[in-house]
Amino acid sequence: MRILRGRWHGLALALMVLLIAVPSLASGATSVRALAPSHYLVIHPALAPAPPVTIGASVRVYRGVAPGYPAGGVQGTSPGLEGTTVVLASCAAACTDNYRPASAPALPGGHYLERVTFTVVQPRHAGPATGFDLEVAVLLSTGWVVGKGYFSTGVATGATTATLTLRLFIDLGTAIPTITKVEVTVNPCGSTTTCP
Amino acid sequence: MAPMKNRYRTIYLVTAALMVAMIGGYALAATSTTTLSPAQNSNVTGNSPNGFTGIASISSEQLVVLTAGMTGSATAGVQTGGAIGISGATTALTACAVACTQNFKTANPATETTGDYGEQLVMTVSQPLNTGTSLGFDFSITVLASTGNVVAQGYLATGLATGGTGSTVTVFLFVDLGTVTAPSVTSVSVVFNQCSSAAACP
Repeated sequence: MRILRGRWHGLALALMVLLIAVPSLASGATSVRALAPSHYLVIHPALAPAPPVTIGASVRVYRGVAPGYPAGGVQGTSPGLEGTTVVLASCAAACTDNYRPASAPALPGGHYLERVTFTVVQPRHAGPATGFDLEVAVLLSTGWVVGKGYFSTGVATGATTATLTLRLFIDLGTAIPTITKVEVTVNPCGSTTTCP
Repeated sequence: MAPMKNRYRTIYLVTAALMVAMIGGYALAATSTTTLSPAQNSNVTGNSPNGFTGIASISSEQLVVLTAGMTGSATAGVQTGGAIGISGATTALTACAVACTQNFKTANPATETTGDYGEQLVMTVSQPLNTGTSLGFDFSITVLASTGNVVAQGYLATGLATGGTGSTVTVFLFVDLGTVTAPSVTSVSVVFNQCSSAAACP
């Protein structure tokens, strides 16, 4: 009789423990509250592949005679990288092109210039050409001078790629400049005609 | 012996009553809905079933050297003092007829340094027609770069177009990467949220 009673007691105790433990474990779940759908948008802009352009050396030069270099595209209304491209001339194997920044006035004679050299791989005649922009920022003792350029690689004359040496000339003025730093960026553009 | 039996009977009855009460309460708790107090407010409770669509999107990103023109751009809203999260007053985009370009720097950080490398993000914002409703929105930008990761925030409102049709505003946003060392950018993420009003976020 006693054994039977002890079993009943044990069973009742185990049941009580379960009844207390299970709800307390589940209490975390009952406190969850569903919120209304959020009005948000997450974007991971795809980083475009680098254009076929390599940044070379920069050097300060003095121009006694006004160089008649064309503008490297047309700057848009934003102070950022926004512009219309100029198409690099078709080249057979190796060529050199000289430009001033987009929308910059013609380079006058007697000015110091910062010349930054880029190497551009021009695709074969079948293309496709790609658009790219350049930004050159020169820190002088007197402040920053910035030039931007917007280009399309164009296509080579033949069935093989060509190598273009592209030079961008930034006007530093007439005083002998003290250059502290030169920073250069190259970005691909969304099309061969406009950037970004 | 009889008092002992009575005592056991009482204990059994109390135990049985407790178990019934607990089982009943447990069953009720499992099936009832509890409203927490205070209710949690959300700035995103909805008047648009489609979430943040048709308001703003990212068109492009480019690495730049920040020029005086960029760092001198208007600030995209004002970060609430002391707040490190999304909290601020918006700047409304200028009314546009058909298509316009507007330039901004970030609200947080609010100052940018000319000569630093930066990210240029171009957003396309849909501006409602002049009888529409201006919508406030915020954005949080994360740039992972070899020179260090950068997080920036801003607050804008679409404003209203000048005419009876909507317009498209191209927003150039300049983010300071805080370095003069040429960075290698590995990832750019932008999170947009619609704000609770056209004037303030969230």
